[in-house]
Amino acid sequence: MARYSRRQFLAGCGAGPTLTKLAMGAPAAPASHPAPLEKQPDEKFTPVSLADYFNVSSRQFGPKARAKGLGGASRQDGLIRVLGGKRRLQGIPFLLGDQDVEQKSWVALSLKEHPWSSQGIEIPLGRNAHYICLASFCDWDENETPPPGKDVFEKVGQHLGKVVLTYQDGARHDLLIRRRYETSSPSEPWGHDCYAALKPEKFHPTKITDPLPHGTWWGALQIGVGGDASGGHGLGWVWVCALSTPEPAKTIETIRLEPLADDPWIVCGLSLFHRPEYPLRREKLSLFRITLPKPTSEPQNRWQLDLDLGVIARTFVPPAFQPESELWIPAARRGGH
Amino acid sequence: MASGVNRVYAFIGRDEFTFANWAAAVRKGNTFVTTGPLLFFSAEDRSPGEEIVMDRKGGTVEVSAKVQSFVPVHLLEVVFNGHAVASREEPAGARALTLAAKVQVSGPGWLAARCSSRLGPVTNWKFKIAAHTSPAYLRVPGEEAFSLPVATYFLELIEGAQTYLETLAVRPDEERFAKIRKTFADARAVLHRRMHEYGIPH
Repeated sequence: MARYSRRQFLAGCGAGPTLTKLAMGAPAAPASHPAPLEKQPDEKFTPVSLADYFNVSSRQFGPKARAKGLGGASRQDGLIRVLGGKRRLQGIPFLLGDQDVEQKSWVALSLKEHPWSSQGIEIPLGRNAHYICLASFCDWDENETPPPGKDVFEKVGQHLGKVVLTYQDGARHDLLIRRRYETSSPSEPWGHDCYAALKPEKFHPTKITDPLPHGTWWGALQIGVGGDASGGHGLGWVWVCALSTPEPAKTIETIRLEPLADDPWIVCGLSLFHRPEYPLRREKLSLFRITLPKPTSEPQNRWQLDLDLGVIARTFVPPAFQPESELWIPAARRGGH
Repeated sequence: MASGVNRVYAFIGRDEFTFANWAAAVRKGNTFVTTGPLLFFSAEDRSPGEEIVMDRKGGTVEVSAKVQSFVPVHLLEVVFNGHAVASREEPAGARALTLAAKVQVSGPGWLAARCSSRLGPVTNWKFKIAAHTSPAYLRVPGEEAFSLPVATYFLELIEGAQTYLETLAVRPDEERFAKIRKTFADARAVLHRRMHEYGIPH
């Protein structure tokens, strides 16, 4: 079990993928909603605005039968609702469009011609990056719910689009967007997660004593992390992926998003990540010890600790050191030495 | 979540209930997956996971299936290579159903049983009530059942698992990571080899 001083811990975080925020007296952010992005945090991320390229509103995209399962207002109108605004999704800052279903808030890409879709958009960048992070979704796979007697395969791995990087020196590199890999639909049957993308809401620690919404949910009562969800009631998932760039030191002149299928690929947000570590991988549980100025007299909830990429599984304040009781052990109890 | 829902059952017989015996039973293949019903199947008195050697022309196989379920089931079927070849329907639903039949099979492949209920979903997690056994295999010496769409789909799933391993998955120690990687690489290589043997470009 490693022990770290506060300096070592913060220095380590600064050098690694994880940014730690230690706020004194700050109220805890609600666990069920991704925190809105308050400012450009540092040089770790560069959120890119897609506002000039938004070409479709939820209303234009149209009602979907399976969107009614999202609940909320979608239960009535069948329109897809996802997170909007400045948001951190899985700790990555994004500049998403408006959450209003009437506003053009997404970039819809499809080979099939729709009044609202595009055959490709090109975003000038002029920056380098280790990872291109996308928040996106696609339409539901009709092969997941075939009618009785229809023998079909789910469209796992369907090529929905590609991200074309054009470097300053003219070199090009394509990054594929595949169904159930880098993106997926706003809701999925249990277990149909993506191989290389996460739902937007950060995980949070769960306890065996957490309250249950229903008695039959007892299986969820486990010590671990959970809560990867859409970010709010009645919202569908946008899937967050991080695509590794082949030459992170080189300047990317433009990023082009192109469709590869009739099935639409909907891009909600784009952000650059400027560190070499993959930003969506969870590491093993680690113990960090932070020595605060008044460790024994502060109320525990005065200090709020937050991570952009990672989960604070547990926090606890060790009791004050009691040299008399902790160091002095009666000789008889040590075997008579 | 009700007890016994969304489970795989493996037959360990009279062996002691240990992890090793359970794992061996799973490898042997006498298993069924279920959201509640208990489903049992045999073909020519062979259990799921066992082989029946057939003539090249196929032939007749005697099959037997039995289901017991707390929630009434309405349909019990025997399936050959994915298609129902014998069935018993109970319009009112029943907590116990049996099916015995002689079915014609056309060549190598697999036989299994499945059952379903029209009721539900009856669990909080909205699972439909159904069960499916693992198959008993029909082997024809010198031939094998090979499906290109199935092989292609499995290759995709293997690639997905490899992608997950390389991206999102928590990294284990180097030795274990290499072992897991090798498992998927081996599985992929086997399917590739078989596709090449069949002259299928991919």
